[in-house]
Amino acid sequence: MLSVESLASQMAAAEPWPENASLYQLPTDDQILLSDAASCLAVQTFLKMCNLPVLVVFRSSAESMSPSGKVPFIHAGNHVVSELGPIVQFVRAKGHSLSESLNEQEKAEMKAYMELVNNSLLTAELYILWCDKNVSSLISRPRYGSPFPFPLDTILARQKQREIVRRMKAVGWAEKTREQVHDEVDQSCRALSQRLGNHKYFFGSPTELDALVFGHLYSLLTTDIPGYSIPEIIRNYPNLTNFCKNIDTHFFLQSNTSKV
Amino acid sequence: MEIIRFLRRMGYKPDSHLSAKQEADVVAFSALIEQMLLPALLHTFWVDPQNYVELIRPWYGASMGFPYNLFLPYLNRRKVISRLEFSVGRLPFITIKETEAQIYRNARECLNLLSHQLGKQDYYFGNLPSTLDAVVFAHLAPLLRAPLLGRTLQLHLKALPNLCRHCSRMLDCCFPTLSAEGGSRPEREQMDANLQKLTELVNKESNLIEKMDGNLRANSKSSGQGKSSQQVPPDISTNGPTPTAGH
Amino acid sequence: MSALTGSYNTMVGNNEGSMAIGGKLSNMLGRAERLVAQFSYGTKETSYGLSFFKPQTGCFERNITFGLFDVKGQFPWSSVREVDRGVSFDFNFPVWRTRHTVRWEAVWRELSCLSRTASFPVREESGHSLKSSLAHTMVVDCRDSTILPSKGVYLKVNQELAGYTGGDIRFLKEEMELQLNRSLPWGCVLSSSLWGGLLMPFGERPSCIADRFFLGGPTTIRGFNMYSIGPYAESDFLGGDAYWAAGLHLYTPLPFGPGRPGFGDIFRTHLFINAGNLCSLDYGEGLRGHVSRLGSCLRWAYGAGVVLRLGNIARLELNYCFPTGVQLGDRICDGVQFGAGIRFL
Repeated sequence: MLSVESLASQMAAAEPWPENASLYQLPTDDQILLSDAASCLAVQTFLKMCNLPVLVVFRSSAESMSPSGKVPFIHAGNHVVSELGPIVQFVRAKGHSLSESLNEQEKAEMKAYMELVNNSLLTAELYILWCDKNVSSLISRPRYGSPFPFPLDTILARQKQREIVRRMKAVGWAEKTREQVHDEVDQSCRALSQRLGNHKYFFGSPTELDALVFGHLYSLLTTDIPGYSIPEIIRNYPNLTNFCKNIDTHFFLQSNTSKV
Repeated sequence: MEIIRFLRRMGYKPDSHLSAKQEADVVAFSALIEQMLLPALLHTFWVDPQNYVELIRPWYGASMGFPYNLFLPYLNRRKVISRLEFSVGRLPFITIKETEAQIYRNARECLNLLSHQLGKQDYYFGNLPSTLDAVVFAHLAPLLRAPLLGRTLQLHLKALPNLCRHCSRMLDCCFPTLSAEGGSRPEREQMDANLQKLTELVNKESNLIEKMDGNLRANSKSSGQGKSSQQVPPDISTNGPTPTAGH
Repeated sequence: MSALTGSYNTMVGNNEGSMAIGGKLSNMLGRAERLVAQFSYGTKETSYGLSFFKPQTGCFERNITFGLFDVKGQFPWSSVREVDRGVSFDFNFPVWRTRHTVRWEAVWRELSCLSRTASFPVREESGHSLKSSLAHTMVVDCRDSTILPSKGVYLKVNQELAGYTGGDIRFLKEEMELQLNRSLPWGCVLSSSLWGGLLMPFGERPSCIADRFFLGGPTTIRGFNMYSIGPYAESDFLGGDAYWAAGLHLYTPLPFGPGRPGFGDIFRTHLFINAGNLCSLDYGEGLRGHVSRLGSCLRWAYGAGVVLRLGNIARLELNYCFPTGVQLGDRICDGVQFGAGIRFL
């Protein structure tokens, strides 16, 4: 197992970053949902921070095309890599890294905070989208099934919902109430805010943690979900909203839709 | 984690000596442990066939009555397997062997990170224990002390001396009666004695929680208490040692 | 009076073993209806099928069949895994000497990569789609036997139109099979066959790998690996939108002839030449461009072998092949090749 991985990373390291690397994600207008939008934005931000050019391709079947079933994924040369963690490792194998200057303790902290975001913010997003009856029937299921003809749209949307609900049950989130979800998000935001303090980035210079936090916070701030007041929770921590504004203006020149 | 939150709301704050940044670190590292270490612990105890059959099933079976010991361990094992599938991934994208390899890789990385974070200090944040020390201890102690048969993760942990010392320190500090016992010995009698002590300990804890709960109900001034008191899971008082930090 | 029969068999093929259980309820409602259920459990995949067959009273040739199926297949030559779930409705009727079938089916197709190293064009085909199609088949069969005929003509023409009864896949597919047989002295038979097909997708969406034609293997052009001819990406074969294949066989009884009728009757030796080509449609080229592309760089093979007839349904072959006209990317099976199936070129 280890030798296959090291061989793969050696092969990845052998070639430089290709000119025609592409990032595949779901169409933003009518299909993508909050959790996938956050992950896609995080990866896009990370690649921008590394100054690696990438072409964004929208495909309705991006989720099925992905090697792990999750969006986004990048196609660089002969390699197809999905999700932020493996993409960071892949990019590191090619010689670009944002966290090389950190010492061991800081690296540990960065990993911990990234897991915090995955553990609470991402899980909260999935809960809101698929475990809440109102949101799932009004927003999630119609959007998820939009590229397919009847009756496939209903079948696939319900299949996805069943799978996510089972996952929520497995990690103990299925029985949570709306208030408990708000509490979880509040606690994570408080922790992120306390860690960020008055700095521009979490560790002095931009790292993958900044990309991940920005991806999720920006998506949560700019998405209106009926019945949930997540943007207000985030706005209680003004250093987090400033953090988002800062990254938005610095890395995304077309920030005209910034509703932060 | 629910119990920790409940206790915090009640005003029990072991973290009053921490700065804001350190408090945030507590939350982050707890999430790290839950995402990266907990799946491997669950796997070692519940899914690894040798450990499950030789150790866990008899332990739980002994403390549950008949007929619960016939199917409750099995149900718990299925719950654990489904949780592990969702934590890393499952067929058709990833095979079971790869899932297991990934889980243990994550756990080893997590142990290394915890060891780096602790460094040469006594506790994670200065000279007083904090919530993070409790969380780390709760996860590592069963791994260190249980007489496991499938032992790769245990060996990795034993190779990190500062974490082992931290565990012993926490044991001395918080459970002085238990620390009188030696290290893990594979004899059956020693196992049973350990189990007895741990069960007593867990019962003491749950009695404490019930007492606090009782006090709460007597006062019942602050909001949300009715809800939080229901979050104490009932099975903690009937089962033996749980590797999870309370769900 | 209805009869319930069950069947159980195990099969090994295509590096998968499977166990199939079937149940058949004959004469269900008293007028020769038949309900057939099948369940196949394999080391890799599981499939289900249920069909209901009803002939018209008094005319068995005219009948309808209604089916439900859930079939999973793995195609290692393209690194594709396909799951088809759907319903189908067939109406068979004879017209003079021809048999016609009109079929409507709706299939929910799920394509995915068989391995992580599948090529990117195959990865792009992954996803869900719904195909709702109407097909018409006409069969003229004047042969004296299905498997090893000694005289007669067989013609089958099939067209399928997908997309105008729902679903998101639109295409028009035409296929043709022609076989001519002629007896020669000393028990020899000369048989020639010609197959062709054309797939025209409508709209901007290109054709799907599950609809395209594949060529090569012991049942089509012998001497080449299974479905390993034509357009490819890395090591996966993508199939083509148009193809043709032709074969010329000379069947002779076994040389040392252990006497007929008897054991020797189910064997034949044959000498064969197979040729064919497969390409994808590129609309910039026009009709002439495609015809010339199908005509040039054709693949062909010749050889000899032994054919075994299994009842009146299937055929086994053991051949020694010399593939020639091999193009870049094709995979050949030089020398001994074994084949089993129902439909052979």
